[in-house]
Amino acid sequence: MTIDRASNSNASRRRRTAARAGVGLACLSGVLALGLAAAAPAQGTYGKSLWWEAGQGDVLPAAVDFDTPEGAVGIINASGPIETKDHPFFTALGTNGRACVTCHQPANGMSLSAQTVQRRWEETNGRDPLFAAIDGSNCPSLPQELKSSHSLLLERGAFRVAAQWPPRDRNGQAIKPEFKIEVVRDPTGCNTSPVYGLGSPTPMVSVYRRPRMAANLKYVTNSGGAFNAKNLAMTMPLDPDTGRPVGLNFMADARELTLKTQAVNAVLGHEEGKAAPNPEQLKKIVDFEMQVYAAQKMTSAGGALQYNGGPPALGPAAMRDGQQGVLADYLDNPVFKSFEVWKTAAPGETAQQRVFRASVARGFDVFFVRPFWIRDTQHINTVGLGNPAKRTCATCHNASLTGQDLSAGWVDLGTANTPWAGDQPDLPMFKITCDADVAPHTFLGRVIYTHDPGRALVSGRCIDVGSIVMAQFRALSARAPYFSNGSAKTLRELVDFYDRRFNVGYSEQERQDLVNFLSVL
Amino acid sequence: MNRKMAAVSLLALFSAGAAQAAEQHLNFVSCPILRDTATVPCWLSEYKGELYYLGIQQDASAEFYPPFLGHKVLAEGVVSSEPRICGGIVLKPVKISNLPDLDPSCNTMLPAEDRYTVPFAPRGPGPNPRPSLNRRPGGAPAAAPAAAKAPPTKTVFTVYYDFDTDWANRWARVLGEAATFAKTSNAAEVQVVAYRASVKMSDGPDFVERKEMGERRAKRLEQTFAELGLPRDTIKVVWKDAKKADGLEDYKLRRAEITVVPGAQPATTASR
Repeated sequence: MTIDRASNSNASRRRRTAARAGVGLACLSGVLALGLAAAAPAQGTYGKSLWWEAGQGDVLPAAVDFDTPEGAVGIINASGPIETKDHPFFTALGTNGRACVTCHQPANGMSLSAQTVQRRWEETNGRDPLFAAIDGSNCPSLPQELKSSHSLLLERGAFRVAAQWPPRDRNGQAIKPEFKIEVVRDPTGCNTSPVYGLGSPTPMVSVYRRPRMAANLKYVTNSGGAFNAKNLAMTMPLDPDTGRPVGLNFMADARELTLKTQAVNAVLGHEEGKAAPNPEQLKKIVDFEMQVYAAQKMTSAGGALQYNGGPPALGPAAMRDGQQGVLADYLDNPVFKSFEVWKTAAPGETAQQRVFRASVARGFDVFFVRPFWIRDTQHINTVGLGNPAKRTCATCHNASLTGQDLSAGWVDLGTANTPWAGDQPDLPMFKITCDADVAPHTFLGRVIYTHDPGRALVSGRCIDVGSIVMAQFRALSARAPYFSNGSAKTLRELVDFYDRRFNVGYSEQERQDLVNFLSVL
Repeated sequence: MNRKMAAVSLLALFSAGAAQAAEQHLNFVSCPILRDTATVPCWLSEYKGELYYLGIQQDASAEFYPPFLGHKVLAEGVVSSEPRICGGIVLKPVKISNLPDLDPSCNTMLPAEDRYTVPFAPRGPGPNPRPSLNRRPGGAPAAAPAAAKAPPTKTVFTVYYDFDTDWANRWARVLGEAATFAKTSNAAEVQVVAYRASVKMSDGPDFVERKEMGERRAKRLEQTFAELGLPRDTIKVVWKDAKKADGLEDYKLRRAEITVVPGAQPATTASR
């Protein structure tokens, strides 16, 4: 493994410079435009120096900005600068050299973009711990030196998630699934592998998913109460430490109850640890995750996003200062506050900024008030709205400042299930056949073809097949591609998917406005 | 019984009978029909050549949950004398159950027309005026736990189900109240009696739920109460077939009754 320490030191200096620049918000736009243009390689791609390596040992400043393809993403540590040397989030705790930060990079809004993955492959010839066989390759049984063996991580930014089959309940007891699962297509070889597959001595289902943001988590871990507001008579599991109901909103399949259990299993799994982190390490990991905030802070076309008098939801400071647990699909408290200020020209704006900001403001209106028919969406149409329901994006993306669902948010949007997911030949395809004596999937019936059974891999329920917990909307420009399987390479592809999925009929202007709106979050 | 009391009783019986005779109950299975409006869509269904209005789209806290295109719906309602809405005779009250299996023939969406408006008030500022999810159908009062300081008494909580489902959706609040009461009253026993039922259809044989539905409801509730923290050994479940449907309020037969029997109360300390 070759790591360019000099580059990392330079990166460190640049990050600190950027952090200092971030203090003077009034001149942020100009400073970033100059400072980051100098630091960034051509065409706005990531410099390798922005990679944060496990054990790097630098200080992560209280406020720091990183360049992105669209501008800059801002990171705020609410508790002040983080000394990362020996910090368990930034230190390899397992055997493969990875740390939490490996897949939750500050420069990528505490997630990981496919572009960064590709750059890292080029920098290390594929020998970075990021590409560990366990889940950084399509299957551990493949020849690890080949780039093709890591194609899903390189192209989609997707890691292998091996789900134990059948699943276990909250007490560790095997759940009797309501369906039979068969492997129809296995391009990675993992689901039919005698070692890793469904027929192995420890049966597993391998699916491929993007890492979520390890930031803004006070919103994401918010708990709604004893019952699941979308599966109304279903109780929510309890946090084993506090005895309080959890939120089930921070993993794609909601398999982890708390950040603590997630950290334990991440170290044992992703980092191939021999032992779980000790209580002190766990506390430091969770404490760090609960105080770090990330959001887009500057765009090349629109300039600064976080400034006095600007749209109040933009920038990481808004995330730090905002209130979690707020249902925000009301007209008086919109999900992303207000963009009215960008509907009219402001002194000092460039012509390009005016055009872009007006587009963003229109995009928010499209997001918040433009109705369309939401149809055949399990855990949305089935929650008292009827099928179809005439509503807006904000109906489902209703949590203030994140755009998640305030309820435990697994939904079958169609990104995993056919027909809407389409044929994605590089992903596995499973055939799900629901038992005759259970309720079928409400809109797909008893036989479903899916790339990822989603929540059903945890619950064993037929109605959960293909349902994925929706992710937060922040720092999107820093962490393409989108959807849990990385199937939308760009924000435009994401918007186009929704248009196709719900037959919305967006105009070209509306599409571009939505893309611009999403890009500033 | 003296003559006067007998007369009053007879009158009461007659009044009730007359009221019932005046009500036309309709129970039928049909495709739902969506009609768009300028605001939210309204939902209709056709039965014997007549269009009936079921309700409008609202949200999860509403009493009426709209049906699903792609599925047939069981409608159980009373023909009201209210003016038509969206072109349909108003069924009120009405209970609907989406039938589980797909039916692609149920796919009618009618466009909005100026002549059709719906009784819909857009969500205004401030918190949702409806109390929360899981409000009680018909505004039925909660099964009130015993008054403060009085010894808790045996209390029955009832939840109702859509046809052929074993999740008491919309009744989470009642389940929560039952669990809370069981905890605060140190319940000696929580008895669950869950019923499988049928519906007397307006034009045909009874529509019967799946055979195992009572058992499923009972076991689902047992699991729910355990997850809400009640000791499993205090939860006793049985399941039964409900009484024969008469076509009037058959949806009330699809239910579970949860009887919480308080246990020994801690001795109170006399205050000086």
